Amino acid sequence: MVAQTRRELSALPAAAAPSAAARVRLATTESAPVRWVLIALGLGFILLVIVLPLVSVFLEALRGGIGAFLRAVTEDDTLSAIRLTLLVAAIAVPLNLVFGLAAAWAIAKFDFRGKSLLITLIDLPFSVSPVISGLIYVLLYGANGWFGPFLKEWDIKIIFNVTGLVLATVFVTFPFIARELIPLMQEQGRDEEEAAISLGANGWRTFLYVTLPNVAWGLLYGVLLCNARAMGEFGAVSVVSGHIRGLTNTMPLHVEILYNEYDFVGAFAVASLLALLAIVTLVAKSLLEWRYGDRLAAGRRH
Amino acid sequence: MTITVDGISKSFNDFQALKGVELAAARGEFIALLGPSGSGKTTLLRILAGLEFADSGRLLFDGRDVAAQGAGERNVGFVFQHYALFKHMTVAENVSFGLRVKPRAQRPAKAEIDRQVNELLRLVQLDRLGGRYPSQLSGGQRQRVALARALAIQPAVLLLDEPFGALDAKVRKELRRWLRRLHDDMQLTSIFVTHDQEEALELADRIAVMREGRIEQIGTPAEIYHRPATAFVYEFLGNANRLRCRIDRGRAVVAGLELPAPEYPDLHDAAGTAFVRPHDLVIADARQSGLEARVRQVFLAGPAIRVELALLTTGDMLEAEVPHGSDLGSLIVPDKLVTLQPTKIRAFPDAA
Amino acid sequence: MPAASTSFIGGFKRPSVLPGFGLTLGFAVSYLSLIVLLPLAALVLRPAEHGLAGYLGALTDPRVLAALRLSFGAALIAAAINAVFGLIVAWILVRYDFPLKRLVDALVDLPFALPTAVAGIALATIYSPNGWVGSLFAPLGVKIAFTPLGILVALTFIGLPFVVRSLQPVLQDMDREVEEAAVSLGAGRWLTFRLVILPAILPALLTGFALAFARAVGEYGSVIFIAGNMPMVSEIAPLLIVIKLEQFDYAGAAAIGVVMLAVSFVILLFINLVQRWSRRHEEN
Repeated sequence: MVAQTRRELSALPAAAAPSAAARVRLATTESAPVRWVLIALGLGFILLVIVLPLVSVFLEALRGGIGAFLRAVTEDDTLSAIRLTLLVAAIAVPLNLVFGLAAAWAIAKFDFRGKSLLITLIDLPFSVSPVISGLIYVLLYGANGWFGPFLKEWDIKIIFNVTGLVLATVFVTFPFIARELIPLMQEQGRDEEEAAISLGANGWRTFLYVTLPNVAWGLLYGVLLCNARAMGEFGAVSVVSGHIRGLTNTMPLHVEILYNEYDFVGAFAVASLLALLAIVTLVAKSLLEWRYGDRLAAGRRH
Repeated sequence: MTITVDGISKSFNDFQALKGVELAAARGEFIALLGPSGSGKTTLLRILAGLEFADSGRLLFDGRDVAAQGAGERNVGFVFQHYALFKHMTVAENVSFGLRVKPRAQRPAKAEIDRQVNELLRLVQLDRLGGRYPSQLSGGQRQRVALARALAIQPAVLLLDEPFGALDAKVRKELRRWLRRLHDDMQLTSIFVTHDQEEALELADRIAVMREGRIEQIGTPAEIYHRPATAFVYEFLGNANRLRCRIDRGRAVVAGLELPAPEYPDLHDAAGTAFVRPHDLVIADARQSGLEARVRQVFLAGPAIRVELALLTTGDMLEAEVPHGSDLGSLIVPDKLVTLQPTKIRAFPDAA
Repeated sequence: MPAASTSFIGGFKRPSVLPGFGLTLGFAVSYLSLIVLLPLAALVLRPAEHGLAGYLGALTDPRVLAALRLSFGAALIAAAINAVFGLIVAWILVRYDFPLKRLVDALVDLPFALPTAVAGIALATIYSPNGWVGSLFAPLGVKIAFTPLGILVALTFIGLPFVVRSLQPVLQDMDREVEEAAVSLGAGRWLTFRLVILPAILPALLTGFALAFARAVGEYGSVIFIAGNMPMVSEIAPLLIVIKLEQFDYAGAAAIGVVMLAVSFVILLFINLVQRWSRRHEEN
């Protein structure tokens, strides 16, 4: 029957025959020209605003050749900046990890008054400018701060010291892990933990053997983001650091110093290391989202 | 408006949803597309609407080929299974949508639009709910808004995709009768997709039974029910007991019992299946001639008594229906040996 | 999962079988207080040392006002640009297929993952008069780097992911049948977008806009390299805070900080309200 229809169709004048190509687009899609324009606009925007800066970092870093690049990256001050960055992250991330787990446990497994207030407060550092994040610590611990005289008496240095860097970094990266774990653990509910308790496990064992495995991938995701931000933070640490070369300069701060001294190759060389970190983070993040999307928090926001 | 479907086929990737379907609908007809999921009925409906496009074949509205026309140009009213109401618009705004988006030249004045909307709302008995939002309505009310919205553009044909599927049984029954009355009053042409055979049998002028992308049979409800063309149609349209049989020159032999099968006078000793409706299966005393069976379970609640029996020869489970108040009381007890006498069977030979 | 209820019968917490409440909540609240609440208190109270007059005096300084105007104004425009282009990007990522789509999707998060200083020097270099893009505009007499225009570029960079990521899930979950209904009723594609799709995604668009705005107002690292940092002209508020700190004008710095914090709160509140408003037409 179909074959006969085809023969009939070919006998019809061209105007009456349905042109499959012309009408195959769905009722709910735009026409091809509109689509192409939108794609061009969107991709053009991404190219200009995102790809271009990223590519330029690497190109500028290699402008003086590989030799200059390696020299810049292995210079003493750079190395201590790298060490400091790693140190600060190594302290801040675990601290925030413990906090994130504790807060998520309290929020997800119990009902209590003021829970939404707590959650709002945890989200706070996200909406605060990085400079303010540093400012508040200077106001507390700086020479003219609330505790300034007290600290001076005991010769404890927080601002212009690694301690201050850690504090500011902790503040800024504080919500990342908690924001990942809280909705995840809320989604997972309490049933499994209650089952474990009813079977005789104590709190720690329940946490270790029941809760942790369930949130493992979300935890990793949160740690990833937390770490990326911790290593890359600039505004907050800039305020509390004092910019003492070799002592209180993290990599981002070192980039600033080199740039302001017109050592562009040097600045971009260090910057390219950070950019590499960003790319690795993005790749790992995408992989986690792709493979374990269902085990990460449902409502992921920035 | 008359509709002609001529050899329509449609595939989605590797899956062939429609395989050369043909159908003709006359003006004013109420046609049901009936079939299980995957039979292609919704695909066919969407092709009629212009929401999908066929790979091959022709589609004619009043003799005009409409393949080149998009959904907005065909003047069809489509009612979705889950209503697809515009959540952020009021009921009145939903219903008037089709009128408001008409090109300036054809758009009625605002006062006229309001008048038409009010009339439609009265027609679907929602006249005081024009200012409500869909989230404030019940399922049945939402379905009526969807219907009013589709009718507002004065479509030549109304297409409904399992419109009552998401409603509970009582609402479903009321609404479908009301829909038929509306169809008759407004003299629409309607095509209606459902997987509920009771609905199709009750409402349609003609039913097209679909299976795996093809139409197995088209006919009036009476034709489809009493003269099913294939085993599939028979089974789909009501409860059926299946028995293996051999068909020989117009007679079917079922477990030793010979019954007329006049549809096949020319077959010689062909293997086949005989179908019997539960209410055509008479239960008689074990000494009488017929199929020997043992009663397994009896269900007393319901419009009729349902009796589950096991055929002695093959162990097949059969179901019989006995009206309440019959005098078979002593026979229909579990474990009782009885004889089954089919008063009417329909046999189909196995496919060659 | 039992929903959080407010009926605690006079108590603070619902009785529960699970242990560790005191420990975890106690630790969490202490940590929070030490790291967040205490410092923020210092911020809010510091300008008050000089009384309300001190507060107002610090804020009505012309240089401060210019910086605040610049920060808020540029952030607003940048967020608006991101609203338009972010919508386009989200649309093509959700609705269309094109080569390297996955890559583009991942790249959208770059401004979020890239350290701000790195973005800052890269943007400054590209848009400076002899940079790749700057050199295209130099002959036309248009300077981008070291002007408010450069600030706009930087703020657009860092705000993009917020709009795209706010829109994507909403676009993804949109009921296509509603669009089909609109088409079957005779609406063309543009009308369908304007009357049916846009109202549905408006809350997400507003949320993305607000988040991008909030981020842009406080942005420091990406901006200070490309901005001219000239007082009254191209000096952003966060930079002014840093300068005041270096001059030991703690109260002045804190006053600006409080204003910016207050704005952040207002934005958060706005977003919350938008979210609630967006749910008004959902099922009860």
